[in-house]
Amino acid sequence: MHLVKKDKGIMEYLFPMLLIGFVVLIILTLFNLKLVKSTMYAVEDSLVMACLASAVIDTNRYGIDETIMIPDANYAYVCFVESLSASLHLDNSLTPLNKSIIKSSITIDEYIIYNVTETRITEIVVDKFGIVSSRDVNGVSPEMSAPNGKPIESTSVYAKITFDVRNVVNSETARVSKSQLVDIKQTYSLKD
Amino acid sequence: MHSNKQYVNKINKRDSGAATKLIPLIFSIVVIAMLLSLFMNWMQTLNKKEEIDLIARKYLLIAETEGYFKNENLVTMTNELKSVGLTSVTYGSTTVSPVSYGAIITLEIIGVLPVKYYILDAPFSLQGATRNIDVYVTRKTTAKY
Repeated sequence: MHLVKKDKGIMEYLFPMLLIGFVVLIILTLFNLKLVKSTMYAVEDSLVMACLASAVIDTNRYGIDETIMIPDANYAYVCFVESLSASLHLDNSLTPLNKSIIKSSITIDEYIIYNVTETRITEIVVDKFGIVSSRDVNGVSPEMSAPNGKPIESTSVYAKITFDVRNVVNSETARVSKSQLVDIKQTYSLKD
Repeated sequence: MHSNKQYVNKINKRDSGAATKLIPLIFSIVVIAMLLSLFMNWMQTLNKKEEIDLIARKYLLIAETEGYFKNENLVTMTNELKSVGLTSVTYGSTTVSPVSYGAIITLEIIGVLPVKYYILDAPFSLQGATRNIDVYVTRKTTAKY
């Protein structure tokens, strides 16, 4: 009778290596998810803050008839860019200064101010060179909406930005767009 | 000639190096523990940075309606930042005096965030250490008051 002694199994090395590889993969995936989620939240928050920062209304007009209007679209755009640059740590060319998963300069695709009065909506499109177009729409139309489909109900600021995001796991980049419509409404605080 | 009983006894005899077979498994457990520790530290750092951003946002909105960062707000913000773990907090070019309506208000938080991590200084010996991460948060808005 011949009994052949079994070789030392490769499994005793392979199994721990596979286990380590599996854990590394899970950790990288979870870390990537968290990083992307955290960055997207920061970008969306910065975009809202920048839109709010640019909402510098005409206080004299508001004092007269309580109409909320953004009179200086160019100054509003400057405030928007300043606020966005500060929040996301961008340089003059809107490129991230710190290490980030944002791997390109941020492009401001659209920046639109909607000045709404009782009788008309004025849509002002601005880019980095100044006012591109301005048009009046008579009567507050219920169909009037921002490019992201949200209706224009009161004086608002709409902005859309685009940038590249890098995946930590496979180093691939993806083009991402974010847009926000921020409206400015009157609020009253009632006191006794 | 060996009998069948002798063969069976030979097979049943325990290998002298059986304990060494456990080494890869123990090694993998140690490596996984280190990786998990590293992961938890990453997550903790990210969460703390998010908390710092939220505090910055909260006080920026207050300053927006007051026209600048009042001293009492800076004091409470410092306490909140310290409770998150931020140390050596300074405010750089933060707007600390009133500005006119529509003018830019700046918040600049500079601080150090100590983060604990573990290193393998000898086989199966994890040593705790602290690494300082520089934190720099800026926010800008316009005064509306």
